[in-house]
Parts: sequence; C-alpha cells; structure tokens
Amino acid sequence: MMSFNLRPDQVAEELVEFNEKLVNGLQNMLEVGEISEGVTEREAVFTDDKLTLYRYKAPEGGRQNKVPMLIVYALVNRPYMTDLQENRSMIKGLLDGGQDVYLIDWGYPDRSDRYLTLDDYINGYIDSCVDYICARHGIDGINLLGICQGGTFSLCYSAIHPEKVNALVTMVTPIDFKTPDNMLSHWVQQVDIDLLVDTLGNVSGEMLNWTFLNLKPYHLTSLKYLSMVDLMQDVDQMKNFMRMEKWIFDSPDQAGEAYRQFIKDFFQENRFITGGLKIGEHDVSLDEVTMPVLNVYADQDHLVPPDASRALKYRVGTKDYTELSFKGGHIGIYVSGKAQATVPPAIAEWLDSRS
Amino acid sequence: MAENNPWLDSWMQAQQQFLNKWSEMASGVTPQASSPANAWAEGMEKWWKQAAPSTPDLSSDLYEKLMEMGKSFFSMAEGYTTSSHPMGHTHEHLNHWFDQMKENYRQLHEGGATLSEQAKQGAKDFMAFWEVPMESWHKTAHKMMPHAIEWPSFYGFDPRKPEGQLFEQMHKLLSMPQVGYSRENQERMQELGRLVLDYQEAASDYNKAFARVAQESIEEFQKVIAGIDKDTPLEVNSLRDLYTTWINVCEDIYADFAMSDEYQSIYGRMVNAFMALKKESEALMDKQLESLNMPTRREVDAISEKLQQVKRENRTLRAELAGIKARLDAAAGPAKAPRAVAKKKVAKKKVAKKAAAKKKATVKKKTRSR
Repeated sequence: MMSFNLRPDQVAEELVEFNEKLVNGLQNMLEVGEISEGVTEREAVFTDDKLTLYRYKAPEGGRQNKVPMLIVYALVNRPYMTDLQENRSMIKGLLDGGQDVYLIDWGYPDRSDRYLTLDDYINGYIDSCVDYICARHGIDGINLLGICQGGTFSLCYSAIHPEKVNALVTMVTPIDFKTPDNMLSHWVQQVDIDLLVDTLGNVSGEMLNWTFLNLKPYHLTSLKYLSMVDLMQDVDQMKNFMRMEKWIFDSPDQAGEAYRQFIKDFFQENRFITGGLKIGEHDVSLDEVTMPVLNVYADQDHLVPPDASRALKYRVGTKDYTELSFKGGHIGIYVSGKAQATVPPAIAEWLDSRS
Repeated sequence: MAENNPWLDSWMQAQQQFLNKWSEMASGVTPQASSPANAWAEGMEKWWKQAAPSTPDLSSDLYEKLMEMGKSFFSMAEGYTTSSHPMGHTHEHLNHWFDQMKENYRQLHEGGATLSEQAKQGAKDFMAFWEVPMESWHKTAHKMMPHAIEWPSFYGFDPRKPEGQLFEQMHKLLSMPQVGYSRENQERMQELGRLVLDYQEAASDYNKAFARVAQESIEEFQKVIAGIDKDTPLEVNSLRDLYTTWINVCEDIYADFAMSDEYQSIYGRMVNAFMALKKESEALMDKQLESLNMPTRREVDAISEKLQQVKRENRTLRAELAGIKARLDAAAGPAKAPRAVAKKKVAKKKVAKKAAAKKKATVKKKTRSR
C-alpha cells in the first residue's frame, strides 16, 4: 500500500513554493545570456571540407605521451560534449593525464554533402587526419579514441588500417546492434531506409532529436524540467543546465548515404556480428583489430546498452583487450563528477602503458 | 464533492498567490484568470508575452517545455486537492479522480462530444506530457513538407469509423481510371491523394495506440496507489513524490510498449507512409519547378553526386602523388631531407603504397557504399 503523508493544504503550500521558485528562476533565465561551447584552449591544425582537426593545448611542464591521441566523435550531436565546461571536461582530464589530444569536429553537413559515404568518412576524412598527425609527429601510428558511433567508425578504421593505430579506445560504442534491450534498433527494423534517404536526402537533426527524445520521453521532458526549477535558483547552475540543453538539441543533419549504410549495415543487418561488412572496397572484420583495445562502457546506458558494447570482447582480434565499466549513463560518462575523476585518468594510464 | 471540500480554501488561496506573483513580474496589474485551475498557466503566459522578445530562441523552447510540464504537475495538484476528503482516505479519492481523468481522456480521443470544454482541457492538461512523442513528430514532419497538408487531430480522428466514411469515398474517387490528354497528370494527383490518406491512417493508428497505452498507464498508477503488484511500499510525502511516481509508471509502461512488435509495426508504417507522401510531393514540386525553367531538387542532387565522385577521385590522386613523392625522396637518400621528415616518409612509404593501390581499385569500380 502506498503511504500518503500528504495533506491537501501541504500540496497547496508546495505549489506556492514551486511557483515562487519558477518565477525567480525565469528571471535568472533571462540573465543567462549566450552559452559558450568548449573551454579548453585549442588550435585548428587541419581542415578537409567541413571537417576541422583540433589539437588541444597541453598543460605547461607536464610529461606527455609521445604517441598522440585522436578522438573520433559521432556524427550525431557535437563533440563539445567532451569539453563542456571547466569542471566537466574529458579533454582536460586526458590532457592532465599526459595525453597529446587531437579531436575531429565533423562540422554541419549540408545538402552538398548528401553523397558522403561511410567510405568517405572512414577511409577519407579519418585517414587524412591520421596521416596528418603521423606526418606532423614523424610516427607510424597514433592512439585512436572513438566515441559512440565514432567508436564504430574507429573499429572499422582500425580493422582496415591496423598499421596506423597503436592502440584503440572505444567509448560507449555499439558493436552488437541487436541486443534485446536496444530500443533504437527495435524501432528501425521496419523502416524503409532506402525510401527515407531517397526522400529526405540528408536526415535532419530535428528528426534525430525526436527519435532520441522518444527513448525516455517522460523523464527527458516532464521530470527533467520539473527538476530544472530547482536548478534555476542559481544562475551558474542554470547556465550549466542550458549548456547541456543546447548540446542535446545541437544535432547536425546526417549525410544521406552515410546514414543509409550505417542504419542498414549496422542497425538492420548487424554486420559486425553477422559478417559481410564492407566499407568502400574494404572487407571489414573485427578479427583484423589486432592492436591493444580498451573498451569503456556505461552500465546504465539507455542509448548503447552495455551488452551492445561488451560484445566486442569475443570478436576482436587482439589478445590485449581490457574493459572498463562506468556506473552511469551515456552522457554521464563524459560529464559526471565521478566520471571526471575516474575515466580519463584510467584511459591515460592504459595508453601510457602501451605507447 | 468539491463544493463541500474545506481544502478548496487553501487551493484557492494558492491560486490567488500564483496570480499575484506573476502579475508582480509582468505589468503589475493582477490578471483575472478564466478559472482557478488555469491561474498558473494564464499568469505564466501573460508574463512570457512580455519577456519573450528579449530572450534567445533556446529559452522559447524551454518555456514551452516548462509549460507542458507545469500543466501536468498543476493538474495533478488540483486533482489531488479538490478530490481529497477532509478526514483522509486520500488514495481512494485520488483513485476516483484518476478514474474520471481516464474516462475523460478516453472520450477525448473518441471525439469528446459529450465532454464540457473544461473537462476536455482538464484531460489535455493532465496528459500534456504523454503526448510529447506524437506532438513532436507532427511538428517535425510538418516542417519537412513542401506544402501544408491536413494532419489528423490527436483527438477523435479515426478515418475508418462510420463518420469517417468520407475517407472510403475518397479512396474510391482516387481509384477512378483517368482518360484524355491530362491523364498522366491526373493519375499523379490521384497517387498523391492516396498517399495522403495512407499517411493519415498510419498517423491515426499511431495516435490511437498511444491513447490506449496512456489509459493503461493510469490503470497501472492506480494499482501502484492501491499497492497491487508492488512488493515495496511507497511513501508519498510531497506532491513531487506523487508526480515522480506517476511519471515513472508512465515511463515503464511506455518502455514496454515501445519495445513491442506492435510499436515497431505502427512506427515503421507511419514513417514509411510519411516518406512516401513527401517523396511524391517533391516529385510534383520538381515538375512545377521544371516548367518554370528553375533548377529542380533532382538536378541539384545529381550535381552533388557528381561533385562527390570528383572529390573522391581527387583524394585518391593526392594519395598517389604523395606516394610517388615519398618514393622519390627515399630514392634521393636521407641526406637531402631533414632527419625527422626523412624518417616519417620512409616509414610511411609502405602505407602510402598500400593506400594508393586500394584507392586505385576504388576509382576503377566506382561503386558507392550502400
């Protein structure tokens, strides 16, 4: 039996208090102003079409891993999630851990990018960035860190070009796209992707936002905004909330052909598991991923279920395979205080011992 | 029940305080709410009209979301307060109120002909958050269409019901064979009409399934209140606790629904029907543009595809060139190049060679990844 310790006059009082908080909070909202993106100093070192390769400035005087690290973010959402604010920055954590950090910013594709394929992204753009970094540092291979869909790309890249990857870190990366708890995969099975891409060309960020919001529509709307009223009492907390809110809905359009192949080959055909994956002219098999692999996943991830990530363990070609589980969700792994304290240092330590 | 309820005094006082607070923020004049239940929403809306021009776009979205959340939250508060019995037994009265909401919501989705406007609004506010997935889809889809089409309303639209016989007639009309000079054009318009009906049916099925599951959520919450099917007793010390429990129940029921075969089917059908409609609309739009001697989407896409192919070929050629230069530098010997650069180029020689060979094969076949 549910126990009610709640008199209706208490409810009225609670509402009055809530209303006051909301009134004050909305005043604070007007003072928030522009929301910045990214906090760590960086330099654009290379561009290719809409792609920009950034190198982050390392702290002065610290020791640095001689093998630089390239972060490959997903095409969905923007990479400033990794450097959201001063006390929530995975990039900062990696720099503090002695890594030389590069990051690919894919930019915002437009209709002229509609025919970009996964081959263009993986064997074109990523390969160009890797070649640039290798040339700049006079080395043969780099450390690669792929995030979410970027992790899937990084696995493909590592399988095709193993000689250019010294060590691979995958973060919240789907490998088995058909685990029973994968809601996104469940939804897309009866969608005619050819019709969708032939019709839309590029797939709009707004449509993706709708899809992601529907994964947990009531927690991600009603309950979130109810909790926001408490945060609104403090301008700094409100800024942090709005920064996250901006990131969540800052979704670039997806290049049509790349989207077509990604959804069909991975979500519908599950080709990492069933085999037969081809990127351009290259057959891709996880057996070819022979460099050391660190697989980082979040055990409460509602977007990429843990089993979808852990599937890598039995399929990857390397004998040097490590898993790191984080108690949190898909976003928390980058921004929570606990994640800041544990995940980047663990990655840095793992890389240092293999570089 | 409400007329003899002493708790109404505190509820009315709260409403007055909302109005006063919002009016302080806005013009200073206390607004008159159309009903006590709407005081909060009306006060906030009045304030927002003044504040909105000076706020960034993101804040406008946030305001809408706050409003959706607030309507449900305040609606629950009103239901809880006005249905409570002076001597306690709260959950029974709350249960009764939920029954009423469930019935009103059911009727609303069947047209709501017998419901008062207040009852309709009450049911809409109470379930405002539940309809986020459908509302967002309609907003998203609407923006994608080249021209406005008639969307099925959330409430009471069922093309297959007797009152929807118009749809059946339209299907027949759209299947009539065409003759004469403009036959081809007429057939295309008929096809567009069929696709509109198809999409409206699919969207209606999606809406109806959501409405049904919404009622299941209310029933499940009633079970939670009554302690059925729950091992752990729940303690409610605030309206927030109650509301959070309600949202958690809704999310659980929705998650089961979203992972069902039924959802996969209605979701796929709605998205596919929409895409088919949009594709045909754009083909017609292209025809119109062509007749005006304007570039069409199809032509622009064809140019983009060719451009992408040229970019690919350039990339391959650049890689081949880099390979040739590396081989020449290596042949010239390390003395002619700075040490670090020479080391890198020798090391990359094999890689560049391999990449060039692979990319050459790509150009030869000119296939696209799908």
